[in-house]
Amino acid sequence: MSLQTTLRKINDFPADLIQRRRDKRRKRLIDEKGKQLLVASQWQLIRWKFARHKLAMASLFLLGIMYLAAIFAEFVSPYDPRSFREQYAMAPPQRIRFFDPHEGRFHLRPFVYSITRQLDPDTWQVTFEEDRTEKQFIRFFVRGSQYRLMNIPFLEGNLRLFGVEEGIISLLGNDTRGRDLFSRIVHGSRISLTVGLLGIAISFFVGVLIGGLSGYFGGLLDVIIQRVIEAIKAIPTIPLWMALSVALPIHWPLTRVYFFIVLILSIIGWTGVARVVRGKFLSLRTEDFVTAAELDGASTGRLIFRYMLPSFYSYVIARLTLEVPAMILGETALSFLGLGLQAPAISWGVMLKDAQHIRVLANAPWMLLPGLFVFIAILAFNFVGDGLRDAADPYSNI
Amino acid sequence: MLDFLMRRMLLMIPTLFIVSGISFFVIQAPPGDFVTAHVQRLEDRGQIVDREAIEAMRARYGLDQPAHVQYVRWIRSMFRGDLGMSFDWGAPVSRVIARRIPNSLIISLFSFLFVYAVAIPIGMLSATRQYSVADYFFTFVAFVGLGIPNFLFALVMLWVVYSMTGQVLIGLFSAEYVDAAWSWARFMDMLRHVWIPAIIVGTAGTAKIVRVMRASLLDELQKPYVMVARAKGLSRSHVNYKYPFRIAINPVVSTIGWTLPSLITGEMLVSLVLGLPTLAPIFLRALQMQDMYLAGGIVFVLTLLTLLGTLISDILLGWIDPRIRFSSM
Amino acid sequence: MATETADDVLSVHDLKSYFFSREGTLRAIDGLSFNLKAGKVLGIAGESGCGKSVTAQSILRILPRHGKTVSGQVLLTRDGKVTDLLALGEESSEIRRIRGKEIAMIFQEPMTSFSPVHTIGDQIIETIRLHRGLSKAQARASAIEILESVGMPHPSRTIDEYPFNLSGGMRQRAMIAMALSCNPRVLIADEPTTAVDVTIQAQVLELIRQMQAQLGMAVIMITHDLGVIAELADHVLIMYLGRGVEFGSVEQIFHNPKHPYTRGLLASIPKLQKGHTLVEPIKGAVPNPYDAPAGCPFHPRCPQFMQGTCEVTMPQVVEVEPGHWVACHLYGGEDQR
Repeated sequence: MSLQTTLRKINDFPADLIQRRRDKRRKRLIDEKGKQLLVASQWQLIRWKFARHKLAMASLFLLGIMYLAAIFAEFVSPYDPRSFREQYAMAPPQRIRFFDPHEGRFHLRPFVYSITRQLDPDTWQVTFEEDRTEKQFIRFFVRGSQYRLMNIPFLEGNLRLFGVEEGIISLLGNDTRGRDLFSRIVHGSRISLTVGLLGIAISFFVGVLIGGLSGYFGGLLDVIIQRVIEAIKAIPTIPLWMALSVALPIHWPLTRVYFFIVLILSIIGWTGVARVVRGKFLSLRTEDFVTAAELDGASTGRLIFRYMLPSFYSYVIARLTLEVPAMILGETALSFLGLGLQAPAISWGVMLKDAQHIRVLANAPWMLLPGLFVFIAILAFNFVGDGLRDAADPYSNI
Repeated sequence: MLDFLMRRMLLMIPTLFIVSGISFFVIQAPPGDFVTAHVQRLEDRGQIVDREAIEAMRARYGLDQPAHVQYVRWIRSMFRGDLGMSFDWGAPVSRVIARRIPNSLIISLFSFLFVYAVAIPIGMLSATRQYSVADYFFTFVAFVGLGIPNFLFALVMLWVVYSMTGQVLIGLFSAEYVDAAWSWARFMDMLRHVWIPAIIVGTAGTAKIVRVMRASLLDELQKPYVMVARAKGLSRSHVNYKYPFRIAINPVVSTIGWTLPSLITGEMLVSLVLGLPTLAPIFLRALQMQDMYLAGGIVFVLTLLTLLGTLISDILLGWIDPRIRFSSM
Repeated sequence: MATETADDVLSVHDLKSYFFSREGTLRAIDGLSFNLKAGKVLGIAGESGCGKSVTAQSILRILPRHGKTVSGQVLLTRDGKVTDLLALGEESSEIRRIRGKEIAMIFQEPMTSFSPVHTIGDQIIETIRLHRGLSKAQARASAIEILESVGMPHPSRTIDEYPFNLSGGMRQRAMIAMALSCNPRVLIADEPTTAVDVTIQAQVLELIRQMQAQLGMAVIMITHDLGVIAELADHVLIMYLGRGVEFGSVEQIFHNPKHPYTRGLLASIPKLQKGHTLVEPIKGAVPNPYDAPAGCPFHPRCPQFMQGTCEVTMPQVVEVEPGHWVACHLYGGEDQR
């Protein structure tokens, strides 16, 4: 078939379809653009543009689920993340089944086989064996051990999303001390997924403040700030973070350590924001609308917060989203090295620290699973950040 | 160009000063000092240390002086190339660093080569065959590379190598060369080992550079000069090779500035996971021991390397891009 | 449009170039025909988006990524031999020998049309060596000569300059020098004066006229500026939405315009008449090329719109006087398509 006939076919066959779709699209665009574009706020525009970024939308959805799970960690996880059951130490992940080959029939309700610990008398190797005759059906909204949601006194309960009546359910296996990995990962996300958000919040405020001072006042202050930023940026991240987190006293309570780790992680992040804010301030100072406001007698504070900041903070936030992965990574790495949060705390990095010995890895490779969640979170934030940046870029067309 | 370079070098001086200040502050920050930490360790072992000995020790290391005096002393000796003494090793910091830094540099250098040797061709392929199977494949691989933290990658590799070969270590040297002096044979032996850590360290960077290269080339491919060159009668491959490829390289070269620090950072984490004899384990130990001059010295040297990397990338960029060369004149 | 004669150097028949994208098919050129006589200047005029530049790119077969010429003929006559450029492969060596050598092109944006990291000399010499098989030194000498002939100051020095070190006018001179470096039979000038200052515009036009007379080449002058056409062209093609709507000699078009669109274009040129300017813009805007209106594409904007005819059928091209062709229902003719 020649190219021309091919093209003709492409053109002729779905012409009607293309036309209809195009009409619909145009109608929508006219509705949206014609009427709403005129009144659309910056955030609405960003939302429309972001919504077209499929991968970013999917990532945002995934992150939404992960954060929900983090908030309701006690409810989502079947067990207390700190309770250990030695008899189930290093139990592998169980397979969830619907089909029972022994009975030869399907069950609508998923189930797992009971597992029992076996000790090889010669090698002293511990193995777990499935008892194919004993099914444990997974029940939803079961009563489990008592918990306090997010440690808030009046939110006590024992309702758990799922569980089994006897034996154990371990979706992702157990660690060396028989703690349920799934429950720990869900609880660990409270720390691992929030350091980044809190970190960029701090970076944002510090960055806007210092960058704003630098750009607005200029002069010697600007020179000094720029030098300091340059110097901080020149220091390799991990060594700096390592050195700073070593300084945190061991006896500090968990929350304080957590907060300081976030501060340490933000020590790099704010520099990027400050740069952008400074640049924008320098260029905005000469923009007509700022001059107009100035001539109107607007005060410096009003000038900055009412006129200058709103014109670019969406862009800054979008850029900051791309910093979240580095912060998640930082927390994980520091905790992994034993420099960040320490053992009673649960974070993905702390969990990975348990997996760093090759003997453990060889016998229980599922203990690397927190790493998979780090991976997913980092990727998702990357996609969301990319989508946000594209959407917030004032120069891209709709 | 020369002017520009001179200005860049002069600007490095205040930066280095500030970095030295930050380094010093950072290593001063932990409560106590090496002596308290040392005494603590001795007491943990049941030894009794008397006050006078402690104070004598402090005076010997100059730790009884106020912080700013210590800083000035540190800076002053640094001008003589003396980074101070390592309490823990009982040797000059510069000698401790010098012994380990070749390994760090070699890993970083190889991962650097790996990053660019792999990323540039893949980026070119992805851009010239946009939306092809190859493009989607490499984009996917790049995303995976971007998402996996290199220490985690190292951990996974450790596990994979162990479950495949039963070997625990991915070292830098074979057993017979571990403590040997540098020789040709030792160097060759290292080449046989260095690629695993180099690839692990380089993966995330490769992923980023692939994306930079792809975006930059896609941008250049639709510039008018490409059509002009085609209108002159050049073949498409000749056009691509001579113009957009050549120009798309510029933003890639400018990434050297941030690739180097991230490689150095990555190298530290990977070395710690794999137990490689580089600066990283020494640094971690120095931090834990509060061996402040050693820790500070390492931070300082790493920063110096980073700054040198940025300078090199600036020089390269000025060399290959006349726009930069001329604008700074 | 227009009859073929023996002295045609380039004739385009029923050219269709489409762009394919997710939004649909953009019919950038949809059945365009015209002839270019050897040694003459053909002006192609129309509003932006009517497919003028795509015409040039289609002739040279250098359409961007998503563009495809789907049908038509582009016949190039060289010494009695006729070649259909559309029958050649886009990357074939024949078409590459024609590009730059037989048909050269001057582009709109002299700044972005040169690679920023190569000297202009490098880029001119490359063309010369490609088509004329000269040595490096000979090609350089030749490039300096051409730069001199297009009025480049200090050509032996400017040859080693980077484009960003030259002024806009000098860049456009370099562009012209590059196009003329292989003595082409046909020169396509795509809005050569749009991106330069008004004062430079006159110089550039004068230069093109001069070189045309000197080298005896045929020129296609693509522009939205009818003034440029009036000054340079022998024949004029008026384009609207990827079609030719009127073709004729420059006198016929300017003194006896037939198509309502041509009349509208002429009326929209500011004229000084007894102290006050009269400008009559064409009402409306060029429709979305993704779906051109049915019937005559100009009917939604036409002041002489005839209900029941114009929006239904495509007007046929008719010869209203010798050498003057127009595609409009006002001048009769049955349905063409």
